[in-house]
Amino acid sequence: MDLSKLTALELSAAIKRGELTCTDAVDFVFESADKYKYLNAYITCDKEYALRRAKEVQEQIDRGESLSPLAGVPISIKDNISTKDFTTSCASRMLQNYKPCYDATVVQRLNDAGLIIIGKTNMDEFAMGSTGETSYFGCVKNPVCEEKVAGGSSSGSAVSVATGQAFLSLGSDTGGSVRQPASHCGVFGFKPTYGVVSRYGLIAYASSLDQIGVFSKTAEDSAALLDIISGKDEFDSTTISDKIPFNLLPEDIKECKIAIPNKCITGVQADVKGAVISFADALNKLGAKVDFIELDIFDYAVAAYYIIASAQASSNLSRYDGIKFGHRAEDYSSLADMYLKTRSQGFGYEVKKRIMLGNFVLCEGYYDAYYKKALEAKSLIDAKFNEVFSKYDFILTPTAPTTAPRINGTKSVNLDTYLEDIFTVPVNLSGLPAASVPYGCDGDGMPIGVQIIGPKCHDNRVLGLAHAVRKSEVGR
Amino acid sequence: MTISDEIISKIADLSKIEINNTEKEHLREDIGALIKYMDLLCTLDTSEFASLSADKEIFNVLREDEVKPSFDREALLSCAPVHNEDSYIVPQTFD
Repeated sequence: MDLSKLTALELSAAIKRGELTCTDAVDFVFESADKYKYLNAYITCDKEYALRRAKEVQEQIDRGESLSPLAGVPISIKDNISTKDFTTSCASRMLQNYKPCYDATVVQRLNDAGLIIIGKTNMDEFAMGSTGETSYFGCVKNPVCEEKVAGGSSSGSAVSVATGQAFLSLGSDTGGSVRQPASHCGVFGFKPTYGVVSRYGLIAYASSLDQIGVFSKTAEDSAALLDIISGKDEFDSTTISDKIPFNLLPEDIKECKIAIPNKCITGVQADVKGAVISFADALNKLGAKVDFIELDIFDYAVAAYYIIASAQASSNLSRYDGIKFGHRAEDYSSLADMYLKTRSQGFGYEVKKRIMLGNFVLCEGYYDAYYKKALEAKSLIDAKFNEVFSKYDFILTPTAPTTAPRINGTKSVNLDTYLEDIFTVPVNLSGLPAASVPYGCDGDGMPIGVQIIGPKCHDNRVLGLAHAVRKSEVGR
Repeated sequence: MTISDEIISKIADLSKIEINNTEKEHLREDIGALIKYMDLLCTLDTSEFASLSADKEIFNVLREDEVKPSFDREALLSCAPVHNEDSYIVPQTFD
C-alpha cells in the first residue's frame, strides 16, 4: 500500500481494518523525515518514542477500543505547543533546552484520541515572522523549491505534511501563521474561530490573537482533527462554552453568496489573482452567487495588527528573565544586569524588535496615538466584517499576495514582508475562522492558496465549502 | 513621527534589552519604518468606535474556588536554570 497517497482518515481506517499497523505508519513518516531532512522541518523528532506510542495505540486498537477516527495517525506539533515528552523551544535560544512539565490541552486530547506525536516542528522564533527565517535552528526550506521560503511562522508544520513527514500537524496562527505556510507549501490549513481550541500550553505571543490551527491534505482530515482538539477547557477561560460541530457535510454551494473584495485582487501576483478568479468561477459554475465588493480595511488591519500584537508580545515575553525557565546568562554583575544579558543573548533580532515596538506603542505619550487607535481600528474592522456577513456567507481572498519568495538569509523581517500578511491579519483581529485551500500553481510551479473566511463560529461551513469544492470536478 | 536614538535607548531600557551601536542603528531604521506605516491609522476615522475599544466584550469568567492538585515542586524547579532543592536561586536583590 502506498501510504503517501492516503489521507489521515484513510490511514486510520486502514489500520483498523488490519491492512497495516501503527508501526508501519510511523516507519513511513520517519523514512520521509530522513529523505527530506535538508528542508529542516523538525527541531526535534524521536523515533523510539513514536514507535513505543505506536505499539501502545496498536494494542488499544487490537483490543477493540474506540479511540477516534484518527487513531494511529502520526502527527507533528509546532515547537511552541507544550509537550512534556519533548523540548519546547519556540525556535529560540531562550528556550533551547526547556522541557515543560505538562502537556498542552490539545496534546493531551491528541494522546487520548490515539494519535502518535512524532516530533516538534521548526518555526519563526516565538512565532514572529512569516518566512521561517528567524528560527534559531536555521531556515525551513520550501519543498517545491529549496531556494524559496516555506512561509511562516508554522513553517515546519506545513512542510512536514507536504512531504509525508507527518499526516497531520498542529500550528499556531496569530496573523496567518497557519494559512500562509499552508498556501506556500500546497497543503490545507485552517485557523478556527478564536476560542474554539484551547490555548492552554500554547506559548503566548499575542494572547487576544493567538489560536491553534491545523494542517492536513484535505478539509475532511482537518475537520476530524478539530473535532478532537476543540471544546471548552477549564484551563483557558477564553474557550467557547458551546462545542462547535465538526461533522463535515459538503456545503450546498447553490445556496451560497460569496464576496470577493476588489482590493484582494488588485496589485497581487498575476497567477495568484488568476487562481482566485478561477476558484470563484468554479463556485459560480456550481451555482454560487459571487460578487466583487469594496472592503477597504486591509492596509489599516496590518498597521493595527502589528501594534496590538507587538504590545501583547512585550508583556507576554517579559516572563523570560532567566529565573524560572530557559536561558540564563553566565556572567553578570547584578540582578538587573542578569535580566539584560539573559534577554539580549536569548532573543533574536526580530523578537527584540517586536518587544521594543510593543513597549513603544504602550509608552506614555504614544499610547493614545498608537495602541488605543489600533483598538478602535479593530472595532471598525469587526463592524465592516459584520456588514459583509449580513449579506454574504463567505469572503474569498488570496491567502498571500504572492507565492513563496526566495530565502534572503536575514533574521530581520522588513515592512514588505509584514505586508505579505495583508489578507490574513484582519481575520485574527476579528477572531474569525478561515481556511487556506491549495488551488493551482504559478508559472514556476509554486503553490497558490485561496482563503475562505466565514463568520464567527461558522467553522464547519468554511470546511464544508472547501470540501465541496474538492469533491466537485471543477475543484480538482 | 521620527524615531530618534534617544527613543530607541529608552524602549530598549524598558524592554530590558541591551543593544550595541550597530543594533541601535538597525532598530532605529526598522522601527522607524514600521511606525511610519502605522501612522496610516491617523487617516482612519474611528470616532464612532472611540468609546467602545477599551471595555468592549470584557467580562469575568469565574469558577468554583476548589482546591485541586497543582504541579509538582520538583518538576517545576527542574525547568529553572539555577535552583536548589526547594527554591529558585537568583542574584542578590538587596544591598
